[in-house]
Formats: sequence, structure tokens, C-alpha cells
Amino acid sequence: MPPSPANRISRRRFLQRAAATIVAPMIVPASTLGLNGATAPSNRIAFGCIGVGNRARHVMPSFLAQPDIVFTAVSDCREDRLKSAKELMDAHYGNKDCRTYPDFRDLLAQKDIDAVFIATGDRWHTTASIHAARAGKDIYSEKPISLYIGEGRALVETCRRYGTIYQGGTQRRSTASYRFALEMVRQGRIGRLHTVEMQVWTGPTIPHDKPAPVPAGWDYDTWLGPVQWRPFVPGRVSGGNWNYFWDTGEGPIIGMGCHYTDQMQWTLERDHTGPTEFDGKCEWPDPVKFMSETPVAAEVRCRYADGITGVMYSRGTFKERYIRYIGDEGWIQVDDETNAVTAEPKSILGLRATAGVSWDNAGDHVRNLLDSIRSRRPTICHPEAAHRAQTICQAMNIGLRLGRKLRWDPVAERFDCDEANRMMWREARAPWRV
Amino acid sequence: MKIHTFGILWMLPLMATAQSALAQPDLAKIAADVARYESGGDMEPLRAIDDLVRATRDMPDLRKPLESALASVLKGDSTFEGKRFACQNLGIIGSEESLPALAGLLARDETVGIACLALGSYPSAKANSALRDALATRKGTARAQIINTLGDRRDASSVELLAGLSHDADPAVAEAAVAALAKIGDAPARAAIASLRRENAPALASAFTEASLRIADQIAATGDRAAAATAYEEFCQPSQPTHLRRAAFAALLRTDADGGEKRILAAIHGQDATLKPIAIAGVASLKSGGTSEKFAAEIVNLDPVMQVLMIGAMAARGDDGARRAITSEVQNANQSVAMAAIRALGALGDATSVPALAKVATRREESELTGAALASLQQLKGTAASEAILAAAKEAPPEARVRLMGVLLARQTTQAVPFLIEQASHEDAKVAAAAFRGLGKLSEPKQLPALVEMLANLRRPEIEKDACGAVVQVARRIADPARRSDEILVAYRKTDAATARCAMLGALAETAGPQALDAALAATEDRDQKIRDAATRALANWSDPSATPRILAKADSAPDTTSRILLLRGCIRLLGLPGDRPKNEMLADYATALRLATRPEEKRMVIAALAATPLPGSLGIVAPLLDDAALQADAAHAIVRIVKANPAADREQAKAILPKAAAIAKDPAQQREASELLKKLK
Repeated sequence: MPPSPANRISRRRFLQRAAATIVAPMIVPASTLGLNGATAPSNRIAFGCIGVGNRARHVMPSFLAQPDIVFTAVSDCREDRLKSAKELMDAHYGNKDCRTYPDFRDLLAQKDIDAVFIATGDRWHTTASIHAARAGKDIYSEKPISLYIGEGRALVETCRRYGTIYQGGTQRRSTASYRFALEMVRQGRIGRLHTVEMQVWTGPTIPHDKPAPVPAGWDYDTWLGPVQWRPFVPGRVSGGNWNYFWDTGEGPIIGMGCHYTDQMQWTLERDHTGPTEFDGKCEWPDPVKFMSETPVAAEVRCRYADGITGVMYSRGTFKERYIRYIGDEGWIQVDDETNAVTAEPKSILGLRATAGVSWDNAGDHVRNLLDSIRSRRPTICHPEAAHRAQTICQAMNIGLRLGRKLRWDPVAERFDCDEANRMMWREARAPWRV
Repeated sequence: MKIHTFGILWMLPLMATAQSALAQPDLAKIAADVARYESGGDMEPLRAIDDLVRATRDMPDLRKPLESALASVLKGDSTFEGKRFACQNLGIIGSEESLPALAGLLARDETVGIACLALGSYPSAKANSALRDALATRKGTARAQIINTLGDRRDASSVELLAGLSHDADPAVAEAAVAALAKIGDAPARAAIASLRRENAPALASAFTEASLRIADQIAATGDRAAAATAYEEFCQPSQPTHLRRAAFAALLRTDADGGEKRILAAIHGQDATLKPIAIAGVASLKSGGTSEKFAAEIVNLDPVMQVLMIGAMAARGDDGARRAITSEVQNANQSVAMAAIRALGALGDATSVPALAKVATRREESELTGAALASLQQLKGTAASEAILAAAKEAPPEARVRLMGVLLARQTTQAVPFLIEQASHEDAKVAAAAFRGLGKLSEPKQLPALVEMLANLRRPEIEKDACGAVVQVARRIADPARRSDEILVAYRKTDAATARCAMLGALAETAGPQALDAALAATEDRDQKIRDAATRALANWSDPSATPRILAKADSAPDTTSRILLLRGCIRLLGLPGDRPKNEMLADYATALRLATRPEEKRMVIAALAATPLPGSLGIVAPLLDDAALQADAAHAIVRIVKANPAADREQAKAILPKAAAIAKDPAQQREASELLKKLK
């Protein structure tokens, strides 16, 4: 049941709202439509979900909590996932109305669907988004929004061409702890910022595995999508292992790193540009034991034209991830696992009104998308911003793969190295194209 | 960077003269191994190639043999995965030398895709020739793949070929051809698309839409506004789907010389509900002077839904005109519009926004609007805003004043301290309490004497807690813990007034320290009953664990049962607090507390405290209680927890006592746990 607005406001709620709107754009409440809490079906935004695996199920509650959304259809190339997604939706709505489509193009062809939530594997994010844009749907896409730089730029152009409202799934832009850190940096509370430290975890390694028959109920051809064909190898595709092979993922540097580069870009107000230099070092998986391709450990630096440096570490455990802004008068850090903010001087922390919800609750990020769908104004993580943040991670990986320092022109979007420029593009497998 | 062993062997000859080394059979061996590769097999050769790509970056003489080795993998009966890997790397380092080998892959449907993976960003124009040549022999998806690649490569020489292929019987091929033409986008390509459109093939409608929009974008990028506008206007027709009309309208706004201002105004005044939101969104980026004022005047003509959107657009503009326009909507009769204005001012507003926001924030009836106004007041940037809020607080009636004081507190407005000091004696208890709360957060230690004096002179029990809290918070900001009670003790010693002394004792319990403890202990024997009671309560709430032995001694000599129990409970609480007291002393205190406890309730508290943070020797204190019928169940539970927390401590005693505890425990889970612990100990 949609919540009804309170008539009396508590102090706690007042403070929560204050924290939540530090850098938030306009909020267009459903009550704007004159509905005072209960949202009539005609005023709901109809969504379809493309890719209904683990990530979709994790984020879905943030969508379903919004009173002015209704999910009318789901799509997946795996029968088991499609079936369980329909069961979830039908149970939520108390009916059997949710439609299922093995082919997402059939979902996009439905005229009654206004927007889509894309939660496929990374290899599909851009292509599915582009198809959705062409079909006139607004989009929430999980990150990373692209696997290679050229693909990301194509996405930006397509969204602009079709006037698509698009939200990149870097939901920490809508998370109070990160916003607080941003505000403190922008207010100069740590002095002049010079370094942004970002830590993601040690890259997993995947043992060798052989090709095997495609399991019943898997449409592997669709699963691969725009990736040029290769045999079905269970160890390459299942359990999220696809993250650690260049065709289908880019390891934790992008998987988590793009959240941090996004924060860095946003804090620095560089959503339309980026660093100009990249260099680093890494440890590759031992090919005797492992078939995975992405680094096991890494330290990569990027530098902006004004000297501000970003350092991405791939080390430590999953729980030890953080972003730390370091200035000449202090620092401020957000620990992602606990949502805790620490700082020096500690007095900075006294300026924080309330803890707010953690990044794991994407409700505000979804809300921002819905407001933008109605207002047709850009989301907080619009395509250009998402693409630029992504580019940093992709440039880092290109530098590591080529083993060289790279210079990047963020205006022309070119490297000073031909080979790096060639790695900005991958020819998609027909019939898919961007 | 760690390089695996195979790579290291190769680095050495590479660092030497090396070209001849690469001509040796070993590079051929690597290639041969790659050619045999299948998933699950030996990956060292593949990683060796990766290492060599990195190592030979500035060594063209060494690159050539490497490239040749990769090209050799493409021939013959190499595995598909071997060829795929070679293509990936040739896509990075390949030159014209490898084109013949790649062209060979284009000749077979199953390898067209991986060939295009290599050729997609090949620098040489000869790659286009290879691709074009392959078109004749490929059909279906393979043909579409090649077409896509030619489009991505922007091969202008393919235009005529592609125009022909747009008539292919295979719809995927025809669509690919149209898409490729649009990507190439030069004059011949555009002419070809225009001609194809006149043929009006329904199956290609969406392909032509994409192509037309792409071409319109290309024209706009050249600066030819008129031509671009013509191209976009086609999609503004009422017959077009909504999303295309919106997209085209937004594009026209970008194309218009005036930034779209005239078009926006026309749309706002028009009846097209699809375009109004986009028009209003466009207001945000208009550049001409007076824009905010011009569109502010339009707000009154809009319905509430559009008013909310216009407020959003104004907020994005962020200039003074926008701020004024939004401020005037704070009092809009429509709640949604008012809410939108209030929220927008939080980010956009300044000191001039305070009166309007304060008016809403201080409405008698609390609501979402008042909450939003308070939140926005808190967000306003700058000290001028703080001063304006302070000024508003000074004028506000009591209830409203309390709310605004809350805002000042949240903004950490230290310049409000003098005002708060004055308000701390306000006749309205809520105002006075709020003032003290604010003083607690905002005052510095130099203001402590004034606060202590206020506490000492306070004769209002209803705000004593807030006053005491303020004194304690400020005292805690004194860096040296030993000094925190000083000011309070000075005031305590200066007065005989029971009320004042009672208040001070409450504060001293929090600020603690040896002299404060002396004063509190002495006060338990004061001739005034109120002071004696206050002292007992203070000792029961003492914050410093090191005071435990002296408070226990006081409990032992307490004149009445109530005092005894209060002091004892206070000590049990202190024993559970973190600290650095020697464990043997703490254990002795537990034993004393247990001895002093005459009621089962307090004995249970001791047992529970020992179970929660057990010390070596705890078992010796708890074990005898297994014989006490009233306490044996608690004791059994505690013993299991104590042993579990530290099985090594008191091991023999644990082995002796666990069977008895297990027998007494009623909970089967506890019994099992006790048995398992016993097994481990044995």
C-alpha cells in the first residue's frame, strides 16, 4: 500500500529530509498530480525489468517501494529466472498480470511500458539501453553502464538523440553519507583537496574450466548478446564469474571502482570532463592455476590537469572498500561496508545532521529517476556523468593491459597512444550494434 | 608488476639483441600452443602473448615477428578459441601485414565475427577493402556483421554497396545497411537514405527513423541550424510517436538561435501536454538576460503540475530572479507547489529567503510544509542566512522560537550563543529548555562558568535536566578530563542552597573526577535530606569506573535500604563499563557487590554482569550460587557463558562445575552447550 503523507512532522524526519536534500535536485512528488498519497493506476509509471537475476532482485525493493511505479513485465534469457521473477511480481501485486518475455525486444515493443530497469550482466547494459531509448523508454541501468569507451559515448549520443531520461545505477549519488562527504570537501573543510584514494577489493581468480553443453533453459546466444561468440564454459559465465573476463566484465576496478570514480567526478564537479593521465601497476592471475583475466591486485593513478590525483587500489577484502578525500588540512572517508564516515579534523563530523540510509537502499536514486521522468530534466547520474566516470576505470584497465602510462584528451576523448585508442572500441556481434 | 615465469624467460632475450631470438622456434611454439588452445587448457602461451604485447610496445622490430606469429594462428586448423584470442590481440597491434589472414576469416561464417572484432578499429583503410570484398560471399548474420563493421568504420567507399544492400531480402541485412549509411553520414550517404525513404519500405521504418535522427544530429553539429531544424521538425508532427515528438522538440530547442526561448513560450501557452514538460525543462538552460523574470511571470498561467516543474527549472537556473520567483511561490495555495518552492529554496535560497521560509516553518499547525521549511532553513548556505534566522527567532512567539532555535542548533550557529543565554531564562519552559539544549551543543568551555551559574541559580525543576545537560556537554569539551569538574565544584562550594547543590551534584556525576567524588560522598552525610538524596542518586549514576570501590564502601554503610540498593546498582553498572582497572580489583569489587546484595534482584544483576564481561576468577564467585535455589538457574546460565567466553581460564574449576550447571539448567540448548564445553575441556 502506498504510504500516506504525515500531517505532523517529527524533528527526526525534519533532520532526515535536510540531510537527504543537501545536493538533491527538485522533487516532484506524486501528490503533485493531485493524488494526495494514493496513486491512481493512470498516474503510475509502468516499468519493465530486463535481466531479472541476483542484482535485479536485490535492487527491486527500492523500486517496488515507490507508490507511483508499477512493474508490468519482465524479461530474461533464462527460463528459471523469468519464472521466479514473475512469481515475485505476482506475489507483490496480488494478481497474475506480470507479463514475461524471453526476448527483451518484445518487452520494449509494449506500448504500455514507459520505462525499464536494466539489470542484465554488464555486457548488455549499453546495447539494451540503446534499444530501450530507440523504443522510447526511459531507463535505469545498472552500472557499469558500458564495457568500452566507444560504447559509452554511443549511449550518451543515443539518449540525447531520443530525449531519453536515463539514470546510471551509481546510487551513492543519492546516499546521505557520500553527499555529506562531498559537501564537506566542497565547503573546504579539509582544505584544498589534492588526492582521492579509492579502494576496491582484491580481484577474484577463476580456476580453469572446460566447455560444456549449455544447460536446458538457458538461451546462451542471447546471454552472450553483443559479445562475439565463444564456447559455453560454466566457470566463465556462472555465479558472477563473467566479471573477471575482458569480454564480459572488467573486474573490481570497474565493478566497484566506477562508484568511486563517479563520486570523485561529482565531488570535483567534473561530470563533463576527466583526468588527463593514467598510470599504474598490477598483478595478473597465475595462468597455471587460473583462467580469469582481470588483475588480482592493482594500484592505478589518474591525474587531472590541475594536479588532483585519484588513486585506485585493488587490494584487501570486500569489506575494506572505501573512498577517502585528502586535503591539505585534513581528510574525510566513507567506508562502504558500514556506511561510516570518519574525518580529520573530527569536528567535521559534528556538521552531519543524521546518518541517513546506506547505499544499499537505492530508493532515493529511483525517486530521482521518477522525478526526472515527469519533469524531463536530467537525473543526478545522467549519461554523460556516468560515461565519464566509467571512462576513468576503462582507461585505467587499458593502461594496465598495455603496460604503459597514458595521456588522455577529455575533450577529444582520445589517448596519446594508437593501441589504447584501438581498445576504445569492440565490434559487437551481429545482429546487435550500438 | 608480477610477471609469470614464462614471461620472464622471454624478457631476457628481448632485452638483449633479441630480434633474432624472436625469429627462433620458440615464438613459433607459442603461436602453435595458442593455436591449440581451448578453455580448460594451458593458458601460459596466451599470457605470454599478453606480456609480449606489453613488452614490445616501443620495439617495432620485435613487434613484427609477434604480429606474424599471431597471424599464423589464424590459418589452418587452429582452434576457434585460439583464433579468437589472436584476433583480439591483432585488434590492438595488427597492421596491413595481417590483413590477408584476417580476410581469410571473413570467408567463413563462423569466424566473421572474430575477424570483425580485429578489424573494427584497424587503422588501415585496406581493412575496409577486405570487408567490402567479403560482403559478396556472405549472407545473413555474417553479412550484417560486416555491414555493421563498415558503418562503425565510417567507410565512405561503401555507400553505393550499402545502398544496394538495403534492399536485401534479409531484413536484418537491410536494416544494418541503413544504419551503416547513417553512421557514414556524408552527402552521398544522406542522399542514399533520402532516396531509400521515398521507397517507403515499412519493414525499415524504425531504421529510417534512427537514420534520420542521426543525420539531423550530424547536420546540427555542422552549425546549419535551418537544415537541422527542417530535419527535426518532421518528427514533431502530431502523427509521430510521443517519444519522437519529445526528442525532436528537445533537439529543436538546442538548435534554435535563441536557445529555444520563443519555442518554449509557444509550447507553454499551447495545448500540447506532451511538449510542455520539455519546454519547461528547457527554461533551465536559457541564457538571455531577464529569462528568469520572464518565465516567472508565466507561473501564474500554469496548472499546479506545470508550476511544480517550472519551479524545478527555475531552481536549476539558480539566479536572483529565479530565487525571487520561487520565494513568491512558498505561499502558493496548492500544497504541492508550495512544497516544491520550499524544497527548492533549501538548495538555492539565501538570507533573503528566510522570512518566507520562517513564516511557513513557524505556523501554529505542524505539517509536512512546516517540516520542509525547517529543513530548507537548515540547508541555506552562509552566515548571513544564519543571522537572518537568528533575527527571525528573536521576533517569533515561543513555540515558533523553539523551532527556529532547533534550526540554529542544526546549523551550528555559534553566534546564537548570546541569544540562547538570554533565552535560557525565558518564562516559557520550552523556550528555556531549547535554549539550554542549544547552549550544550554550541557553547565553548569559556562559557562554562556562565552556564554553571545559570544552573546554580535555576529554580525550575522542569528544565533542570536540560540545564544540567548543557553544563555537562560543555564541560566535556575541556581537553583534560581532570579539569572538567572544576567550575562546577567552585559553584558547588560557593552555595548553600539545597536546590543549587542538588543540581551541581547531578552534573558532577557526569564530569566525575576525584574531587567531585569527594564532594558527592561528603554530600551523602549532609544535614539536608534533599542533598543527601541527590548525592546518592549522583553516586548511583557516576560515570567513572575507578570510583567503584569508594561507592561500594558507601553502599556498605548506607543508612537505609533504598540508598544501599541504588548505590549497589550503580556500582554493578560501573563494573560493566569499559576501563583499564586491574582485573583482580574488579573481581574483588564483584565479590563485595555480591556480599552487599541482600535481595535476589541485585544478586542476579551481579551474576548477569559477570556473565556479560567475565574475568578470570569469575567462576569462583558464581559457583557457590548453584546451591541457592533462588539463583541457581541464573548461576548455571552465567557459568556456561563464562566458560564459553574463556575456556582456558579456571579450567579445572570449570570441569568440576559444569556438570552441576548442566544438571541445573532448564533449557536443553544450554544443557547441550554445557556438555560440549565439558568435552572440549576434557
